[in-house]
Parts: sequence; structure tokens; C-alpha cells
Amino acid sequence: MSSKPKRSRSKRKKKKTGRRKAAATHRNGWKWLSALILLTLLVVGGYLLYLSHTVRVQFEGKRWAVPARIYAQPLELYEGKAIGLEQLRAAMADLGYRKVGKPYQAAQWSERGGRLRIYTRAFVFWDGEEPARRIDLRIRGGVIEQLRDDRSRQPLDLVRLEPPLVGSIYPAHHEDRVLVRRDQLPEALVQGLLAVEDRHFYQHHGVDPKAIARALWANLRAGRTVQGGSTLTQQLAKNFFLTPERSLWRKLNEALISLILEARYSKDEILEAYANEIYLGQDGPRAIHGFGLAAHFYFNRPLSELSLAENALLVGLVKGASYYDPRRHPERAKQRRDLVIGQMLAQGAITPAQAQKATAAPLGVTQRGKHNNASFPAFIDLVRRQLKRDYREEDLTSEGLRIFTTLDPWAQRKAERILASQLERLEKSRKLKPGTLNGALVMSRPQSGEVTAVVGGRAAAFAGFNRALDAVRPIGSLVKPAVYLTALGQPSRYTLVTPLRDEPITLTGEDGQVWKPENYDRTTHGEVPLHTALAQSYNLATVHLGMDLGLDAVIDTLQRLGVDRPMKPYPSLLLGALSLSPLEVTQVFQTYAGGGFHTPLRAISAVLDAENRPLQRYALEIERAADPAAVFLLNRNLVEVVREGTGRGLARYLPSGVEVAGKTGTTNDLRDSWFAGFGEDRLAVVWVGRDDNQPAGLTGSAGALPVWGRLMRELGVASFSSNPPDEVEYVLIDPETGLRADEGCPGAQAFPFIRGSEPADRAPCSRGVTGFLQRLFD
Amino acid sequence: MTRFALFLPLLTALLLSACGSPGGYRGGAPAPVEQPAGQPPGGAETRPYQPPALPETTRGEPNRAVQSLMRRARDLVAAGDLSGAAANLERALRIAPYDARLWNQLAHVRESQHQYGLAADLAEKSNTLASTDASLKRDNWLLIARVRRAVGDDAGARAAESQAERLR
Repeated sequence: MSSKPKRSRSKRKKKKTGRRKAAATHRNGWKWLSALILLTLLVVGGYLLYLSHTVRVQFEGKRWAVPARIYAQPLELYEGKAIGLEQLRAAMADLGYRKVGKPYQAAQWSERGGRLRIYTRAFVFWDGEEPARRIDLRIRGGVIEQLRDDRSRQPLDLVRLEPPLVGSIYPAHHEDRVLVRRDQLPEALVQGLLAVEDRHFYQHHGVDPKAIARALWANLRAGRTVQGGSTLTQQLAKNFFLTPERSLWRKLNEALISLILEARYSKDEILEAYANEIYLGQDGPRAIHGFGLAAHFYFNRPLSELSLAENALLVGLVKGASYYDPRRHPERAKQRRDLVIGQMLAQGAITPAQAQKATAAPLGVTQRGKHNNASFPAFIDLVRRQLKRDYREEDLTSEGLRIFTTLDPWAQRKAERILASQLERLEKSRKLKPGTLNGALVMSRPQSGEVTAVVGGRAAAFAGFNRALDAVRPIGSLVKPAVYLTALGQPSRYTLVTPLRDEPITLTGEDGQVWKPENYDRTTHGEVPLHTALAQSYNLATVHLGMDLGLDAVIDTLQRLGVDRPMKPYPSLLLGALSLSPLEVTQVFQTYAGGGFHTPLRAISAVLDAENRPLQRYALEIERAADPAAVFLLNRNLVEVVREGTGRGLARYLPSGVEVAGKTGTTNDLRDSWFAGFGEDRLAVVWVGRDDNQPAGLTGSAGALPVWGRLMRELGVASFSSNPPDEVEYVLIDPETGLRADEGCPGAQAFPFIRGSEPADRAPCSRGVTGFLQRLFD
Repeated sequence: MTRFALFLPLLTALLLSACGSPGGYRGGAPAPVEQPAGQPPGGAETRPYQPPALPETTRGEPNRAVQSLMRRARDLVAAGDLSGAAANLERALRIAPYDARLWNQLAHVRESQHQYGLAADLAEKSNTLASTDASLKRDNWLLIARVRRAVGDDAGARAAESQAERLR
């Protein structure tokens, strides 16, 4: 057993070394402990520093991504403006103005007979501020007859209402908000928040032990969580920096961040952050953050205009925006709101009379969330595409830009409704399965190129395939005006009365295929004057004309008119074997309506930054694209299309005496039905067809034209007219011979000619004028 | 001083065009053709084409709204805020898109901003709407001549000047 002595030795040794060791361990222990403490301190300190840094960066840097706001075009009011009461009422509703007996504060209005008194809100536009005003306006016969300042009784030249908000461009995480400053928070809102969520907000240092104890006690008694002890600061910390998991670690973090927040920032700064961060509702994929946006979302009004009851409702949502959603659960929401009011009363923040009045008030929420992208997705889509050319996506979603667009919400809504109902009507009358047809529509101002409405399909409220921009379809006869314009631009060869051959023609395309076009009615019409060929949309005459002009000349015209796509010089191009979107067609017709001046279509007029500094103006630009004299002749011909040609069906929709210019378009096997036209103040292009590109069985005049007609009937359209340019003169023409006529010729018509191109020869009838007069006096 | 010198002609032009010539700039429709007596009342086929009547609001003298925007534009030009002036003129054009004087004023503003191509096109557009307003047309042609000369197109400038001369 040799191990024994060893053991005893080692025991002794151990004892000795044990003591030494113990001392060493003791020393070591201390060393370790202090090292550990130091390390812990370092880690904790580092962590605190890290938290503190995060807090600072988040708080002082850019705290919130503020989505760009998109505004519609403001309504301009002035004497002589054509506007109906119905439209004004809709505008008031869009802006969240409240109808009252007698307006006494901003955003209120009254109506009696045709007299409206409106107390407008002030608004900062890109070109200056529009002050709040009290106006008194009288409407008679759909026209503003009188516009005065309601106080001074002085006439007002022009009043611009604030533009309605129609959308926002929120980022991928779908947080949307409208920032408010501390001084913009209504007192009632702050009092309500403090009464319900954090009574000692102004006393504690981020954590309120008393509140925690109270909540703990209440929860123990109830056996479940009935009360929270979190301060506003803790709630902010939770929302602001941390994930929603429920753990002790998170609770600890929350408390730490709260203490840091309180140490670094003032109560008002914390309150402001809280008011902008708190989650208050959901609108599809869009998360409603902050009281600023919630006011718009639930009441369609700015926070500053909310009543005590409405503020209390918003405070109530803090506890559970989904559970207390006033639209889905109005009863619950009301109970919660009244509880908030009760707490405010208990805290002495309001008087019993105020509390009573507030609890008696209805909830007052609007039907659905306003100014979300769901309103006019097709138009907003166009705006976004135009913006993407000039701005980075992250700037649009986070910099709080204000985007002023050219949207006319009144026209847009009408257009959406009419397209949908007309498609339904067509399906019924043609015994088509519901949903077979679809359509798209673009509307603009003829002289400025401002797009006022975009409808991307019959279900206009749903974002999806935007046919107005992306349905690229053959345009059929809509191409013809470009062929005729090419001809009229050569006055030495062509005038409106030049005879064209409407006879069979056989052509061989580049691919060697033989092409034998036919007229729609499958007959030929022999020799026809140029204006009739276009008015009746004769295919054969057009092909003859186009081949005489040369395909390159026609392509050149189309390019100058604004067609950007590559075009192949095939003869079938002359009959519309060219695919364009409704928006592109609008661009082409814009140039006609603009008298030969190309104006790029615009959906945006200006972009301001969050501080209202102008970033960009999208100014009116024009460029001469075609001879204005030739376009004048063409437009006169397009008026004839509607008067007596393929567009005459419009007579059913428009008041007699209103004359507009237009053109129908139909493609092979009736797959696409188009109508493009313009009056003096409105231009619209309508496409009707099927998404699967199967024949829709509709001509342009059967499918798209009624949509156009009903739209213009409802919106009102002024006759298209323009002064003849200097180079144009009117000459009487004898319809029989196409020669110069005078009063002696029966049925003589005045036609515009580019000077020098009018026929030199006189018709036989014109020489009979003396005989005619003699017969009169015989 | 140079700034002022730049604005002086523009201001004068604006004042001149704002004073304007009396009405008629939207007239010019051909006289209606009378149906000869004894002629059966014509259907659509024989109805002579006549440019339709214009709505009251865009005819004749501009309404107060347009006038006030024109004044504002003039003041902004005088204050050197050309972008602001352009914005007001565009706003006026939204109300009266066929008012040749507004297109003319906008052309002047763009000329002052050295946007020569745009200025010439705007002046030409004004001319197509100006009808019988010879002084306005003359002003447009002179503007076109100036901007053509500014971009080195002397022949074009002379052609425009002779157009202006004919309207004297």
C-alpha cells in the first residue's frame, strides 16, 4: 500500500497547500469576482451605452419613415365657373368639412338653396399659401354666380380649396403616419392619455413602481391580466425599439430604455414621440401609426379639429386598436371611449357637463379609411411611375414629401362608376357571362396635358392589372387621323375635299403575305371626298391614301404625335396594326386637341418636401409637333366623325348643340373597341375588350362610345372649337363636284383650307346665282 | 441694374398684353351660310359646318379670376420670381386654356428664363389662338424673332420679324 504514505504526505501537503490554496483561492476568488464584476460592469455598461446610442440615433436621427402624401387637384372657385351643387357637396365631404347651420370655424359649411357658406382651411401650396377664408357663394344653373368674402361682403376673384388627400406612398413595412408636433396635440387628447394610460407621467422617471404595484394587485385579485402598469415611456420603448415577445428580458430592456429616455429627453419630447409612434389601426396592409394619421383615418379630419369625444375615442384605441375598432365594433368602441371620458372626469381634466356632452355624442367615424391607396389605385400607379423617374423609392416612402397631382376626384369617380355600369349593361344586352368584358379609361385636359382620371379596369377600387397603362392593344381605326393628318400637311396634294379611291386593293407585305383589306360593311364606295372617308372610317380609301403618302411619312407623323414604340412599315399599320395603351392613345389625341402642339401628359404638378420647400415643379411644356393649320382641318374632320360619321351615336348622350371631336376604333374580329375624343375642356380615351383577347363582339361605337358619351353627359363637356389659324380660310364647296360654290349651290358647305389649296374652279351651280336671284324676283 | 434691365422689357410686354386689345381674340368663325330660299330644310347631310359657339366663360374678356392671376404673375415678374409667375399663369390657363394672352405672357416668362425653344412654341401657340388680335400676334412674332436670334437662327429671326412687320 504504497499509496498510504503518499496519501498522508499528500494530506499534510494538502493541508499546507490547502491553507495556501485557500488563501490563494480566496485571493483568486476575489480576483475572479472582481474580474467578473468588472466584466459584468463592462458588459452592462457597454450594453447600456449601446442602448443609449440606439435610443439617441432613433430619437434624434430620423425617427419615422413618413410616407409621401398624394393630393388631388384643388378645386378652384370663381365667378363663372361651371360646377354643380352635387360636386361641391362631394368636395366638402372629401375634405372632411362638416355641414352645420352656420359655419363659425374652419372646415364647416352650410347650404341653403343655391347659397353655400364655407369656412375654408388654410393650406400651403407649392406656389404660396392659401389663407383660411369665409366665403359666400351662390350657384345658379350649374354656374357660380357670385363669390364673396362672407365677412367683408367684398367680391372675391378666386378661391382655391385645399386639395383632398388621395393616397400615400408607404414603405414595404406598411407603416403609415402623419407627423404631429407636441404643440399640435390637443389638450383633450393629452389629458385623456394621461388619465387612462399614465397618471403620473409628469412625475415618474420612466418607470412607475406604484402603478406596477397597483396593476399587480389588480391582476392578482382578478386572476388574470386586467391592468398594465406600463408608463407611456415604457410603451414607447416597447413600440419603438423592441420586438413584441413577452419575456422578462424584454421587460428589463423596456425598463432600461425607459430610464435612458427619461434621462436624456424632456417629457414633451417623449410624449410627442409616443403620439407619433403608437399603433392605432389597420387598413388592409397599411398600419395606422400615430394620432395624426388616426384622426384622418377615422374622422377624415386633422387632429386639431377633433372634439373631446373624438379625442377620447382615439385614446381608447391605444389599448387595442383591433378590439376597439370603431368601424367593426362600434359598441365596444363607445364603451371604451366613455370609459376614457369617465377617467378624465375623475381626474378633474374635464367638467361633468363636458363629460355628459361627450358621452352623448355619436362616434362620428367616417365610413371607411380615407386617403389610402385603395381610393384610386390606377391613378396613383401612374403618379408612382412618374415619380420613380425622379426619386428614389426610399425618399418617397420616408421623407414626408407632398405630391400635388392633377387628379380630379369628381371626374375620376364618375369615370369608374360609368365604365363598370356600362360594361355590365353591355354584357346583359349581349347575353355575355358577367365579368367577360373589361375596360380602361384615361381622361385629361386638352390644352395642358394634365391627366384628370385613370380607370384601370371595371373593379376600379382594386389595385391590379392597370389596363389604362399596361393593356397594350391594337388601336384599329384610331390610327386613321394620323394618316389623314399626314395628307392634310401636304396642302398642295390634299385638302378635305380631295377625292380618294375607296376601291379594292391587294398588297404584298414584307413577309410576302398577300393582304386584301376590306371595308367594315364589306362594300366599296368608289370615289369619296377625303373628309367623308375619315368620317365614315373607310378602310380602302385610307389604305390607298396611306400608300400614296408612303408608310414612312405616316410613321413619322405618329412619332411626332408622341408614339414612342417601334413601328414597322407594313401596310396594315394604316388600319391600326399598332398596339398602344389607352394612355399612349391619349397622348396622341392630346396633340390633336392641342392644335398640333405636343404636351407631355402629366399626373403631377409639383413635389414639396416635408417643410413645404418646393423640390420640383412639373411645368407645362409644349412643343410644336404638327402644322397647326393641318391639325385645324383634321379636327374639323373629327367633329364631322361625331356629327355624321361613325361617332354619330354620341348624339344620344350629348345635349344638342354640343359638338365634340372623336374617332371610333375597332380591331379584327371585334376584339378591341375604342373611342377617343375631346371637347374644349375634356379629352377621354376609352377601351373595351376582353383580358383573354378573345373577340368581344363590339365595335368602337357599340362598346367604348357609350362609355364616353355617358361620361361626358354626366360631367358636362364644352363644344370643341378653335379659331382658325392665319393660314386657314373658309371656302364654300359644292358637295356634288367638290368645287367652289356660292349661295346659289344647294347644300353648299364651308370647308377650311390652308390658303392656296382651295379649288380654283367654280362649280356649275355657282354661276347660277344670278339666275337663282332672278327666279326669286320673277 | 442688369437684373432690372432684364425685367424691363418683359414687364413692359406683360403690361402691354394685359392692357390687351379689345375683345375679338376668340372670334373669327366664318359667317354662317344661309340656306337659299325654297330649299328644303337641310338634314344632317346638307347642314353646313359651323364652328360651334363658345361657352361664355372663355369668351371675350377674361374673367376676374384670370385677371387677378395675371396681375399676380406681373407682380411676381417685377419681384424677380419667374417660376412663381409661371405657376400663376399656368393656373390661369387651367381656367381659360384658350386665352391667347396667357400663352403670350407665359412665353415672355420662359424667354426671360432663357427657355428659348419653349418660349417660341408658346408664342406660336398663342398665335394660333389669337385670331384677329394683330398686336398680340405681332408681339408673339417679335418674341419668336428674339429667341431665334438668341439661338443663332438669324434667317429664322428675320422671317419672324417680317411676319411681325406685316401686322404693324
